[in-house]
Amino acid sequence: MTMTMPTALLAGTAMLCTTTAWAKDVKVAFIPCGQINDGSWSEAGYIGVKTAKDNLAKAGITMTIDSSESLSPSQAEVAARDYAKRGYQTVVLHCGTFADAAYNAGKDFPNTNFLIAVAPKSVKNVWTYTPAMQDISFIAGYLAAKMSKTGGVGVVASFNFSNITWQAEGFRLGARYGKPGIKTFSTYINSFDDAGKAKEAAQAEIDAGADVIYSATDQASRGIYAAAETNDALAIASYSDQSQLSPKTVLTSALANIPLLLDTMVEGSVNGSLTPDKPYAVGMAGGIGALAMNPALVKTIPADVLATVQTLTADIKTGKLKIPALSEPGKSEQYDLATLKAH
Amino acid sequence: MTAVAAPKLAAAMRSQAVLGLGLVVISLTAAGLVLLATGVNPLRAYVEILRSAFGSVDALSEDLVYATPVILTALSVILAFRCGLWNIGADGQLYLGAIAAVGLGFNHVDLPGPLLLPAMIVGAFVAGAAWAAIPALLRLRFGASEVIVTLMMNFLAVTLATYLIGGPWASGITPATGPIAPAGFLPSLVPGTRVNANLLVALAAAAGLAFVMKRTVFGYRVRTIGANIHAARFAGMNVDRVRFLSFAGAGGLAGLAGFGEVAGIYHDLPNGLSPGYGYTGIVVALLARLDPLWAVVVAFALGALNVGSGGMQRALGVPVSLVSIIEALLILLILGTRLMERRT
Repeated sequence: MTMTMPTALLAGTAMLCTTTAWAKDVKVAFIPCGQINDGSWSEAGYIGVKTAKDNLAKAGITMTIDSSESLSPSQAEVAARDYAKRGYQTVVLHCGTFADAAYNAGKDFPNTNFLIAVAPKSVKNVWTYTPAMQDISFIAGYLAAKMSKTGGVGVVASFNFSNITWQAEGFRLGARYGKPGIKTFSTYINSFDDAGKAKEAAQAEIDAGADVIYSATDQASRGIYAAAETNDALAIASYSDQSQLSPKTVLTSALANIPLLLDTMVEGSVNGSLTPDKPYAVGMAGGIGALAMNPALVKTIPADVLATVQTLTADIKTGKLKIPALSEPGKSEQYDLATLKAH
Repeated sequence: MTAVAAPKLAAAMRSQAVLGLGLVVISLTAAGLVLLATGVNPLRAYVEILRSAFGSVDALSEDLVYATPVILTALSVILAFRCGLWNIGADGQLYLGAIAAVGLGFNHVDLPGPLLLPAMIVGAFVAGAAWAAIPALLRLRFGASEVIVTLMMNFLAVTLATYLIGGPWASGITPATGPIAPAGFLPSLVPGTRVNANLLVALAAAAGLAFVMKRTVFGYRVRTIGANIHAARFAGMNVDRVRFLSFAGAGGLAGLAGFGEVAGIYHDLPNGLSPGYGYTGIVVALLARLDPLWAVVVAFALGALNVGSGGMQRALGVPVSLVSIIEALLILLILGTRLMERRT
């Protein structure tokens, strides 16, 4: 068989690149909180891993994806170790409760990369990734304040931990930015999927004077929309575009762009470009966070407010405006708004 | 043994062996049909299950990690069943044990290091017992069904744990409480694995319960009440007292399972601590015919099945739900065989 010069060059380059990081065939395991067709967090992560597979294929890398779903934290560690033992190059633990599983397995299997969602730190072959939702939540809060007729807005959040609290406090800060002196409320329902609890929490906030409610939870958000519908209030969704679920209520959706985050992390892990010990908290500057307006309600938003939303988006992306990650509920109430631009 | 009894025993054992073998063949065939229907080679699947469950020290250790809490919840169910009460609440009692273990494990009272683990284990037992005492009292005083009350209290326990995880004890980093003090960590039995000293606690509890049931007056009373409560009353036994103590003790045993998960595995209290260990304990208790020592064997077998089928799922890429179907099928067949035995 003869070989042309360009082909030979390509073959040579490919041989040079044949290190562990640039192996031609890699196996990636995906272990989400729930099922990969949950229409929410787990599915968004899986889409991201599949996107990484497609992108890596263009670079000549064949990636195989396997997954184990609906595991308890203890079972997740068994699965993570097993995948590592079976020679998987990357194991993605797409669930905050699997942090210990990732760190423990990471120590014992140094040749496998472990990616863990929303965890405290990155250590050696374990990298954490977090959608820094405070950026887009700030803009959602600004919009909510401008749309509020009662002078009150609220957020119903799942758990009081790291990025969920950043999200809730980012929203409250944005509301204050939009309308200083506005009343803001936040409630943590300690559940991702309890729609009943979410409805009660939203109703309580509405009774206290809020008329725009932001959802910082998962499937439970349906309860928020129900409460908003009953009370002729507005809701703002999170993570994915949910205007179809309640077209007359969901004003906009704060997209997390989890697929992009997972794609970036998995590609980085496979091609060896992740920075050691760096926690990846990616916000709007990294492409994580956008508003998807409800076409049926966007016309109710004043043009000047929409223009400011665009400006804020640009300012946050370029770093002119830096939104803090506030980890304590209520901290946004004391935060000095003047310092937002001082960073 | 008399000359007449020996052939009878041998015949009974032969019959048991035939039944056991038949059960294995039926189970494997049924599960194989399910696998075949989804395009998976059953033989390869069985090899993967065995390899994943017994193929390495790691695999065996994970069988034991799974079995440890299940042994304790099964003992909890057995103790209650033996005196004629249904404890469906072992999962909730496990959570209360875990909550107590974490609360004490933070060591806000500055206990000396060597005292922390004993305090946690006692605290977990007492918390589980106290949680079980509520349905016991309602049953004995007001005749409230312990099945319904314990079942409902499982949800209460999970809600309480969730409140603490998201509220006063929140780590603020993940959906879990903050970590306990290192002095509250249970030592590993095999370095490099997750098998921890709570396995010894579980084995000691099984041996202890077997001894109590067979060799003590209390055990005799429990068995008598379970067999015929009217006869026990007629014999002058304080039936309510024995039933209360048994049920509270059952709760305490499940509480120890929660202690082990906190002190031996997680070192905090995560959201979703138990994947249903309390309910699995009921299955184990029934399969073990309410025998504490057999419960150890059955819990290990179920652990091996769980770990093995998980490994098979990862090796062959079959859906998780298929694995659950196969596990359920095997358990149903075993229980069905028990039922047939009773009728013959």
